[in-house]
Amino acid sequence: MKEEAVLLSIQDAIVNLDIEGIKKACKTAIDIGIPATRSVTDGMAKGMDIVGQKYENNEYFLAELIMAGETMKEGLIILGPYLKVGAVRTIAKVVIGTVRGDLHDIGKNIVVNLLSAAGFDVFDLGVDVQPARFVDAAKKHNPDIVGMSALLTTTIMEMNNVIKALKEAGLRDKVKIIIGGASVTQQYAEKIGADAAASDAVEGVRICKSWVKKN
Amino acid sequence: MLATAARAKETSKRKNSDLDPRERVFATLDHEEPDRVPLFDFIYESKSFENILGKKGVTPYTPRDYVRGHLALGLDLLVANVGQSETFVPKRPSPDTIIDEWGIRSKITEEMQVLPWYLSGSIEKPEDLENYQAPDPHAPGRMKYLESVMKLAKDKIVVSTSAGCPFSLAWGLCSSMSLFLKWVYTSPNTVKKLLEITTNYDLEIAKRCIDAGVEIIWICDDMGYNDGLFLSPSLMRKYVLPCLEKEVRAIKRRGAKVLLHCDGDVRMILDDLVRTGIDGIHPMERSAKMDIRQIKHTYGDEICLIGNVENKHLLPFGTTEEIAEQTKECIETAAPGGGYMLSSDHSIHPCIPYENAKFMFDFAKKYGVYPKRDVQ
Repeated sequence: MKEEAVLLSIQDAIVNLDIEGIKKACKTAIDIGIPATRSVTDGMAKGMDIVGQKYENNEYFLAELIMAGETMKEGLIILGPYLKVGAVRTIAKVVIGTVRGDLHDIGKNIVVNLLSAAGFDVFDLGVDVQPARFVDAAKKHNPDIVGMSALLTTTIMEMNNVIKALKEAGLRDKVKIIIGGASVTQQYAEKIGADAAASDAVEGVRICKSWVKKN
Repeated sequence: MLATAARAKETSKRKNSDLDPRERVFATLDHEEPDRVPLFDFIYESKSFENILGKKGVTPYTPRDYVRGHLALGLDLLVANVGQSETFVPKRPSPDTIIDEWGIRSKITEEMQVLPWYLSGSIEKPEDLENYQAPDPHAPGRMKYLESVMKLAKDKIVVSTSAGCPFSLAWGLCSSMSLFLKWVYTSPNTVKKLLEITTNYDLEIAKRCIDAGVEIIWICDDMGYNDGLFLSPSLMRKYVLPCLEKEVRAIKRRGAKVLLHCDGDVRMILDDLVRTGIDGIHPMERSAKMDIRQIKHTYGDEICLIGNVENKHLLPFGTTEEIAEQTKECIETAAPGGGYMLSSDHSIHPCIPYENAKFMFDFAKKYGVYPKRDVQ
C-alpha cells in the first residue's frame, strides 16, 4: 500500500473517530516502514486539524473532540515503541494548568491534546495549581507559552496572581501568556496583562501556532 | 386548564394592587401580566448567605437562613432541594474528600460544606454498572430540609424544588465526564443504562415533592457551555432529550409546572427543549450567547423566560448605572405580555456584593411594574 494512502487512512481514522481504524492504520504504517514520527505529523496532526475545523463549523462538539483525543492516544500506543525520544520535532514548549482553587479541566485537557497533536511539547500541571508551581515549571522547562484555565469568576483572579509571580521571578518577558475558561474575556486578558484570551480550545491552539510562526 | 383560567381571572381582577408571591409567579408562568415582574435567583453557596445576611459562620446554612437570605433580596421564588438519606453515612477517604450515596467523590472544605466540589464518580468501566445500586429515592430524611423550608416560607415566598439532573448525574456517576462522552461512541448501552438510572430516580423524587405540595419542579441539567453543546444535537435527541421529555411529561401529568435550568449555549436544541413541554427556561447565560430578545420573540408565548442579567462580570464588578441599564433591558425585552422573571444569568455567587444584588432586585421591583409596553 502506498505511503500517502496509509497516512491518509491515519488522518481519516482520527477524523472519523475510529479507534479500530487507527490501530490498523498505524500497524500498517509500521509494517511498510513509514517512520513513526511521520505518522504523527503527516497523519494524526492533520487529522486533528480537520477535527478542529469541524468543531468550529458546529459539525463536531465536545464529545467528538474528546473522542479524537482518545483515538489519537490509541494510535500513539501502537507507534510508541517506534517513536525515538526527541525524534518528534516539537515546535514550542507550553506549560499549562488550571489555576489555584479551580478543579475544572475538560477544556484544558482538550487543549493539551490538540497542542500535542500540533507538535507542541506540553507540560500539564493539572488542576488547582498554585502560582509558585507555574513559576517552578517555567524555570524548569523554559516554555515559550504559559497557558492558564479557570471556569469561575472567583478563580480567574488567580490568573493575575500567576502573572505577578512570573514578573517577580523575572520570567514574564520570556513567555507568552494565554488564558481560557468560561468567565475569561478579552477585556480581562488586557486588564491583567495576558497576551491573549481564547474563547475555546481550537482558537487557543490557533493563537499558539500563530505565535510560533512569528518567532 | 380550569385552575389556570381561574387563577388568570383572579389575577386580572387584582392587577393593579399588590399580588402575593404565589399569585405573581403563577400569573407569570401562565403568561398573564401580574402586578410586577417576579424576582428569582439561585443562591446556594454559604459565602453568598454570609454576604446577604451580614454574618459569618453560615455553614452549612439552616432552612431559616436559607429563607431569610432569599427574603432579604426580595425574591418571590426560591429552590430548596431534596436531601440525602438520613441513614446513609458518607465515606471520608481523607479529611477533605467525601463519597456520597451515589458513589460520587467530592472535595469538601469549610467553605464548600453545602456544595462539595465534584471530583469523580465510581463507574470506571461498563461492567461496574452490573453491581451498581442507585440510592433509594424514598429513603427517610430526604424531605426534611425541603419541608422545613416550606414551613418557614409559608406565604412569604414560593418554594420550588429540583427533581434532579438526568444528564449531569449520568455523567457524574462515571469516573469523568470525558469517559461518559467517550462511551456515547464506544459503549452506548452503558450511556442508556446510566440515563435510565438517573431518570427513574428523578421521577420518584418529583412524585414525592408534588405529593408534599410543591407546585413548581425544576430539572437542573447543564447541556452546554459557552461554545455550545457537550453532545451534538443528533446525539442529544437520541439519548438525552427523551429522558428530559419523560420527566417533563410525568411532572406535568401530576399538575405541577416544570422549569428547566440549563447552562450554556443550547440554541441548537432550544426548539427540542421547548417541545418537551417545559413551562420555563433559566438562566440564559449571556457568555453562552443566549439572546433573550431572540428567545422571547420565538418562544415567548410558550415558555416563561427567567434570567439573563450577567453575573460573571457585571453583577460582581459593575456600577449601579450599568446594572440598572441591563436590568432595564431584560425587563423591556422579555416582560411585555408576561412570562418573564428577573434573575441573574446563573446565580448570586460569593463574588457578587450584597449591595449589587440588592440594587438589581430593588430596581427591578420598581421598573418591572406592569403594564409594560412592548418596546421590541
